[in-house]
Amino acid sequence: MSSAEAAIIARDISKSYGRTRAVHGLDFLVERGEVFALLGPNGSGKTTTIRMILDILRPDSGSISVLGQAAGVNNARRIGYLPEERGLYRNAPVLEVMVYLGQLKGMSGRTARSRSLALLERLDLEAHAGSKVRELSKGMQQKVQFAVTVLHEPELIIVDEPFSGLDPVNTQVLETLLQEMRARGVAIVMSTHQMHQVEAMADRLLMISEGRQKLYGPVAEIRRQFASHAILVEGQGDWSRLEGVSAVEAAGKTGEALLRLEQGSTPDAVLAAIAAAGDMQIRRFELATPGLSEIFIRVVEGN
Amino acid sequence: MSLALLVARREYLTVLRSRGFLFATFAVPLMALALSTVVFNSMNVAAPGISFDPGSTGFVDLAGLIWQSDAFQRYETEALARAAWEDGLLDSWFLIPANYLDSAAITLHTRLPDSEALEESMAAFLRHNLALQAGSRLPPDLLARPVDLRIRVPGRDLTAAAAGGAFLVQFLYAMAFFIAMQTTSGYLMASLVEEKGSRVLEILVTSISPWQLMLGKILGPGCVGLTQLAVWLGAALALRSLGPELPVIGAIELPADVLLITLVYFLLSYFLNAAIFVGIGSISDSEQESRQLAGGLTLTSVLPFIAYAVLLGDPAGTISVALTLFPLTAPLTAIIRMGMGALPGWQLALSLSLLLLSLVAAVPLAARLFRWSTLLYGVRPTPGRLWRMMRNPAQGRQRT
Repeated sequence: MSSAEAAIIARDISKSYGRTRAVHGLDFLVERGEVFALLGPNGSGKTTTIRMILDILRPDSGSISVLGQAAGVNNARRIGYLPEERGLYRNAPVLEVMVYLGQLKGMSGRTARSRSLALLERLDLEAHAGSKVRELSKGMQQKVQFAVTVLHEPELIIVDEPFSGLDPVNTQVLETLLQEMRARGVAIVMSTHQMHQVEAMADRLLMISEGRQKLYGPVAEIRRQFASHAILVEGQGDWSRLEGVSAVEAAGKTGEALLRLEQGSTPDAVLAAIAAAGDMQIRRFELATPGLSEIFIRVVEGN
Repeated sequence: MSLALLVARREYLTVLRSRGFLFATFAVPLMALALSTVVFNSMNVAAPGISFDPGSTGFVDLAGLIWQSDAFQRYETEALARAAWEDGLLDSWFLIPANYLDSAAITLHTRLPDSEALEESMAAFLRHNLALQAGSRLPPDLLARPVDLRIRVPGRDLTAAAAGGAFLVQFLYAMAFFIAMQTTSGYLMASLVEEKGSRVLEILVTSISPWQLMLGKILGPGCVGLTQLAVWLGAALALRSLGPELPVIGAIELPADVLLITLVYFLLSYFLNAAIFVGIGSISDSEQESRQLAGGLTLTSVLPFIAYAVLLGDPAGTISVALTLFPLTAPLTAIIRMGMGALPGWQLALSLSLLLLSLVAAVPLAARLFRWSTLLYGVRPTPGRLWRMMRNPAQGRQRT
């Protein structure tokens, strides 16, 4: 996909608050129809970056283009934003809040109402349309917040910890909704500390620390970059006598082993050796790549 | 619909449906009416000097009946007496018309809340002078009751019985203005603090510019205030039509010019208060904190009530003029002084101009604080940060 069709193009953007530099020289692109993870420890500059995307803040230098528009062009109606902390009128009825926030996004009252009801039904909240927000559980409020975010059918949505407070069932519901939107070409920027969600959903990621870009690219590729020279196998056999294997470590559940390879050895050669041995059985054979949580910690700690 | 109007409509309807609005619109005025009646009466009992000072009373004798005029100051023409009254040199003056002997009709021009003592003094004064020149040739009825009084307070022509009510109405009018102003400004600040606290503001600023949002949040409660005033005005007019024969209710009279000037004062003053309250709401972390900060503003606003006795006793004095010109106390003071006919045109014009200038200065400042508060969530607004923000307004968003 060409950059001309991208949802977000950020070029060398920096932002400071007084003497504190919050973001330094970020350069990234978010394509339409992808889930893009924005990762980083607390205080790393994620919120500032999101605010620049939303045109609430302007970069001190560099440029940022959102949905083909330069900063200053009102894109609000094409963007949905779910903040980390819920932002709803606690003493107002759910439907009223949704319709009002939908109207602020340019929807007519009637359209906002019908779409709100449809979303509430989809999220199994239709019985709570007339309830006050404060009467809902934390998870229900999160679902309402999500519904508000996507109510006006935005082309770009930015979600900050979207699964916070949700049980596995509701997490699945929201994941499905997000996947459907991605399939329709909606660009999704997701900021979260739940790395398994990133692994499950994100196509690409940007990891920042202390305002600087640390990692950027497809999730799978980044995991490969951090792969150790080892193979994870599951099966039966004496792995230590395989040619090219320098050490064997027990890994995870029973029957799993981590095979450290000798310098110059390759996974293909080890696989061929297993096949040639004749008395070994394998049910699983894969490159040992660290999870994003481990990568995150290693990057943040500077390893 | 413009987004600012959408915000204003929501603010308006939210307040209108709240129990607090019903209480402020119906219960508070009744309590204020009861309270002010008590205060009004106790004020007259406690400070009789306010109600009558012979040295501040003049008269014009067109009937040629007054030979000894030690008790009151004589003026040769109505114009001279009226000018002295309007300049604040006199609290009251009365006219003895050329045909006095036929009707005993006397017209008293006064801004005193209670003319009873003056009335008695005038009767004694006339009786004494009538006896000196005409004696027994006068009708016995005239000597027994030498004054059939009509009282003119500014803009109104009342019977003596209704005059006290007129002053009560004027006091209530000022109080209604104050209640409307305070409640609507309070709604504005509470709404702002709630949106900050519940993080709704963070959602709103992704849809609407801070300027539009602030405008909507100010317009909504402003319309609530106007609605309150309209309800009270309607109630007053309804009361008047129901009971014109009752002296106090019959005194309810709201001249069109006073209403218009009040409306102008309300709008200017409301926007000024709103701007200040937006500023306070922007730098406050909680409703409790904002109320503490707003306390000083409220205290300043009630100064005209605290100084009510001074305004009555010396409506053209330095304190009265100062309170008229100071923007935060101008509306109430001006309304009270207008009711007493003691507000010269130049002071009214200057008062409104200063209020407008304050508004022009306050709104951009409030907008800057508001914008800043939408940018820096969770950042404690220390004096140092506020100062830097004021010096560097460009930091942050450019969209307005």
